[in-house]
Amino acid sequence: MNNNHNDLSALWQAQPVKTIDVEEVKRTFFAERKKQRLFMVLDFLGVVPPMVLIWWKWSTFSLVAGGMILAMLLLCLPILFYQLWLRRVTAFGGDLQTRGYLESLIKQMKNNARIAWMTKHSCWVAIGFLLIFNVVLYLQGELTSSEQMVKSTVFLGISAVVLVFVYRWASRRQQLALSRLERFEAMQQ
Amino acid sequence: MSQQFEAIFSEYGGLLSRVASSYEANEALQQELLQEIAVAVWQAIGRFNGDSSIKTYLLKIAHNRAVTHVASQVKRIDTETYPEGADAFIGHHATPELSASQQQSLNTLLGAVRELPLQSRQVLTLSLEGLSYDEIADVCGLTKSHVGVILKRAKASITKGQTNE
Repeated sequence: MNNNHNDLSALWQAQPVKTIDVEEVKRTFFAERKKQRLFMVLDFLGVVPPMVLIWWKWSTFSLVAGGMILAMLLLCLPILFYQLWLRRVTAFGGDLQTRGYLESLIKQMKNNARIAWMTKHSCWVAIGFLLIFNVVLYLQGELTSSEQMVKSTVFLGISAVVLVFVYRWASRRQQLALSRLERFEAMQQ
Repeated sequence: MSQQFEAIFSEYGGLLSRVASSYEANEALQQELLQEIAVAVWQAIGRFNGDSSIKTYLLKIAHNRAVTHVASQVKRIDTETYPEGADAFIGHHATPELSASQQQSLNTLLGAVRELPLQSRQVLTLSLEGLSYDEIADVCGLTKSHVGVILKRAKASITKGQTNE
């Protein structure tokens, strides 16, 4: 039995091996690090506009408009922290035991699928939100001039077009996360 | 720092390459996976605190990277076709040092290893690399007795495959 194991081990270790391209590894490593840092900056920048609006323009908003922007910011913050946590897991989770690593990947894929689902459906919710936002402002008498009306309609139109693309992108992300989840769960069996 | 990595890759490059070959039969994907593993090693080596041997630590990183790699290949495998099986692998790697019968045995072994479920594949290949039950348990996150059971089953499966050839 032991001889058989040694033979098998010798055969296994006799297999021809490939060479690591160290220069390519260096390039990829530094590019990856740059990319991760850039993504983290972009994650933060996503919540900067509502924060700036609240900080500088708070006195110019009506209570309704300010409240809606604040609500949007509060909704974005947990997503930001989750994104940053995911990036940390991706960057520092590689030396876990495989079983634990697989479990964290499964959890991550489930969350990714959930987030993609939320992103997908938040698109039509966002359109509804913008529509209601404008209607409320109009009813409150804050959209008085025709120039303001045109601006908000154009903004609504552009947002709708962008959100259609976001919807399709999120839908693809959801499918990808689900197919990876399936694969990871099969590996765990 | 760079010299330290080059020394690690020079000493353990073969080991990491064998991990890649246990997950990927396709030549190009094998090389791609090996590079990914090397990058993951570079990223993680700063956190090595000496709790285990460096070999065990590298194997843990390599297997985890391979797991992620295999799952990320789902889309590509669905849309592209690659030469399957160990014949393609051996065909490109045949060296004069390996006799024809040894190549045939290696061919069969690699094919059988890649067919194993993840846990069995991991336990078997770690054992073939000379790791103890304790070290295998540490890499995989299993108990020592569980390692023994899985290894026994994996070897039986491999032996059965070789007998059928």
